[in-house]
Amino acid sequence: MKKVMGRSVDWGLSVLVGIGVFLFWYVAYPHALSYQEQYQLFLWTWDYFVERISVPGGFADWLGEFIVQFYYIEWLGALLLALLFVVFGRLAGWIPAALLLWLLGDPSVLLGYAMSIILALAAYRMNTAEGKYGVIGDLLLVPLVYWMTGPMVWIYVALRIIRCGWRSWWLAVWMVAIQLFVFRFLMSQWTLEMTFLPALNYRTPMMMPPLMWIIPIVTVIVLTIQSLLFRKWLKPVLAIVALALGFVGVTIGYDKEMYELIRQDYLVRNERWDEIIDRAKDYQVHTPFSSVCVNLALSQKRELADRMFDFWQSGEDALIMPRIRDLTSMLPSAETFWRLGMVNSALRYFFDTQESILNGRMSGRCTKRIAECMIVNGHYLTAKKHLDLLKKSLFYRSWVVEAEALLGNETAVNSHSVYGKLRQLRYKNDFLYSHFELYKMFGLLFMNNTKNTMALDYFMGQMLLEGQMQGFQQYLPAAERYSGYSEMPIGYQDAMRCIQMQGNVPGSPYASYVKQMMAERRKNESYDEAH
Amino acid sequence: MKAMMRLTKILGILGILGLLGCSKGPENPTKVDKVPNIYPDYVGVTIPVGIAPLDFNYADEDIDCMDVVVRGSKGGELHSNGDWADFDIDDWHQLTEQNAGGELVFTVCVKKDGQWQQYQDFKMFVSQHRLDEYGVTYRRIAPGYEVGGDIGIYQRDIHNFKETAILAECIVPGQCMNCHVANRANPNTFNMQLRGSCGGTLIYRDGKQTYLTTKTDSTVANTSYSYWHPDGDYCAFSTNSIHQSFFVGTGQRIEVYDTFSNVLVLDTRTNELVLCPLLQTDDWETYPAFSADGKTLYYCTAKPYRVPAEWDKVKYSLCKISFDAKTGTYGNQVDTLLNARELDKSFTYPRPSYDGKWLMYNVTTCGNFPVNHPEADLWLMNLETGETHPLVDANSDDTESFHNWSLNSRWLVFSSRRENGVYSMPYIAYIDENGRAGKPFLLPQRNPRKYYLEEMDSYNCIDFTSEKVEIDAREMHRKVFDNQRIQVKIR
Repeated sequence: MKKVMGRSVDWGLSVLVGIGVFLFWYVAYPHALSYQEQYQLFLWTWDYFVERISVPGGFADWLGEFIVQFYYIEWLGALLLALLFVVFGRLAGWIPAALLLWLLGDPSVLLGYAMSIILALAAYRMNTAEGKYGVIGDLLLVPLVYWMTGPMVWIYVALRIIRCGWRSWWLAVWMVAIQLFVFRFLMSQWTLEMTFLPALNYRTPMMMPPLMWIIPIVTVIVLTIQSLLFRKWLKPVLAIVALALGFVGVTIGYDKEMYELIRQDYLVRNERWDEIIDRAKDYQVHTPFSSVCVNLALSQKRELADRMFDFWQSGEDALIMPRIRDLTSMLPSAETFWRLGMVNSALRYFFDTQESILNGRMSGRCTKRIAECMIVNGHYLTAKKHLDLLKKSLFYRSWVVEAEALLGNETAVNSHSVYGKLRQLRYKNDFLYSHFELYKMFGLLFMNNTKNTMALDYFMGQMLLEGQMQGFQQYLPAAERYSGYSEMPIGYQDAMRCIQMQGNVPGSPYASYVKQMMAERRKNESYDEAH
Repeated sequence: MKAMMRLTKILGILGILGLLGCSKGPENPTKVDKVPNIYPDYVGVTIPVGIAPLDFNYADEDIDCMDVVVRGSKGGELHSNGDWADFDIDDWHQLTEQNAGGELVFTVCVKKDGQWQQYQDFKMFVSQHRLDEYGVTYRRIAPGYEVGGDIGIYQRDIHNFKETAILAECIVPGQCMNCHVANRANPNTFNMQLRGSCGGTLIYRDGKQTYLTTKTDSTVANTSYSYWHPDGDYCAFSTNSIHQSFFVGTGQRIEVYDTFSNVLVLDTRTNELVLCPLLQTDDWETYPAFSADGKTLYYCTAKPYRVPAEWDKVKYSLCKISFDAKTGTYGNQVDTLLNARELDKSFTYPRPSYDGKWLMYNVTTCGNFPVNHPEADLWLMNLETGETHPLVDANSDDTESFHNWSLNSRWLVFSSRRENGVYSMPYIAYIDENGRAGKPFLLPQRNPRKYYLEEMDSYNCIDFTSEKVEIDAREMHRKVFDNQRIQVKIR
């Protein structure tokens, strides 16, 4: 009866954890799921599988990617993560599971890490044999588990040594020998660190947070304690510690600013413009990335001219950020280029974003946009190359079928609601992009097609950001004429008042921005002088 | 055990059934009055003895089966039957050996919708001139813009399909690696540029890796484009301030340009730079290359313009200056071989043949980075007569660039964007004694359509290597991240 009760409590706890984890991801952090999903492109091909499993730890990595692809549908991704946490908790204990939740707050940690621990523990649970059969099992399983999980095989090794006694010390030697063999003969392009550490499971090479070390060690300790101590109080104590660690992890492991930016990008990706604006009213991270997201949202609601300076603006880079080599910064700017009709610039930013994924993975989101840019540009052969790739994925396939029908069909592309429109908006003449002359670029884009009111808004907005007062005044009549606004936008009125009153307009958003910029410039100048 | 045996049997039966679907040869095929549409287009190409099998697919994806019979004009026969033409490596080698100087005739039958069709036979020509180099080296890089991504320097055995990494991104993460430049295909003498936080110039000679900082007070930048002196002691470099700008239109994507550049020579024995005032002018000198005898240094030079605004006015002439390797001194006179202003073209990337007869170079309308110019073509100059001509049969409507010679100067390897305008792909072509190119062939792959259509990288800086490059990548990792560099000095 006690056993049944105990099991019921265990399962009850598992269900509770599962529900909690599901709600955590689905309600609080759906953008974290989107972030992970957009930096891989899982292909349902044998080649992809073979490529992944051709390195130690590759199978766990492949399994992780397999699950992450389902993040494309948020509820499904959250559900799979919840199940994974339950399995993880039941195999490793709830303390390591809480630490895992903490660790996953680092967006560079890949799910393959969790999979590798699960696989190592599953192998340990499978091989209960001791004595002769245990030895044979270990001899065979250690290399197999190493190849599947990578260095997390050490969890298996440590637990087997603890279970079978110190006479099994040879297992550790066997494991080292295997790793050295792999290092010497099979992985000539891997360093010793890559062979012995879970390098595959972190997106940024040669950097790993300490928790990635701590979790396997804690797992071994917890499982050892559980197997040696049979005290009534043990389970409740472990549960309380796990709960506390989970709380701490969620509190400090999920950087507020970083996740707000990830959320903004997620909202941009899903074109949820109102939410971006509403959130920014309450809380806006002071970075150019955030300004670009908010301004894009405002432009899509045709509120940029009115409300741009109601929100924090980072400066001249608040509409389009310059190129930065990382996997996130350029995305909102790339989406802005795309909507403006600056198709080549969008293509460039998406391409470079994809190339900035440091573990060399493709991005489904970027590849899709790259293919779209190529379709708009009429580069159908290269578009097909990207579409062929996307076709092998699960969630981009249906879109590919539609897109493929457009290849080579100029009439269909021209009449397409998005691509046809972009063909109308893009530059008619070819010239070199100049980031230092952004407002001129926007101006030319607008002149190219005076129906491109977004370009007009960006043209005027960029002049205000750069303090091009003369130009702003000069083009204001044209803006009034072509913008389609029934009256002069409040933002422009405010800017005009500031210009006329030389900034002395109490409560003016634009005056505040100018003051902020002046202070920033003075700070930079004094910094330059000091250095 | 029994279960295993049963499984093996089932798999065997399934395999046989699968083979049966395509194992029957063509029965009463309908004759089609045209050559088959194959990928890659190997119809009429000239190949060397011992090259990897030129496997090919039917370009139309929807076929049931392909049956190919190859007959040598001097004897021998091969047969392939399956989803694509896939030949055994040893049998293919034997057939090409047997037919050196002769022809291979391909009879292709395709089964489509249950019906066999037999196309017109086509030929490949087997050259008498061998290509005995181990393979080719190249940099694989996505054809992006400013971010290198998952790049790497690789080598490929051209006699089979094996590719291995010389230096992959994973072992030097975050560092951009540029062209691996060997001395006459020598795997033991080459240099490589590394950019990034741990940048430097690698000089690799006889198993020893030396990392240099090549910028000095007297030179304006680190070294870039290079070419070895044939004796292996000197290496010519250009020092460039390289920039790129991006077009907003739908044609050319990128223009790469310099804001200054000079040419100099490094003595790799002493790590000293040998400068010459004639190569350190206000004009932009770049792309040095030593002649086969090492007595002449070819290079390109352009008048400076305000770039990027006047990018299309920058045109490079092809020049030469003498060089004495014994004394490490330059001549005092520059000769212009091709004048950019007179001919209104830009001449770049000179590559002299190792027999001293030819100079191969790129011709574009402007600029110094032909790989980004769709109009870039390969031309040859006869170094005895000074006559020039385009390599008509090797060129295409799109870019040809990154070319170099085989050791016997009868084969050239280059990259071309002819297939889709964006991805540079590796081609090999035969050159006859009159400097006429045979039809080039795309580097063979086991299943070429699958390989090349799924390949998302460009092949840059492709060159032959006489043997396999055996460099210790881990030592490179250590030395790159140790970040200890030898500062070169001015002689």
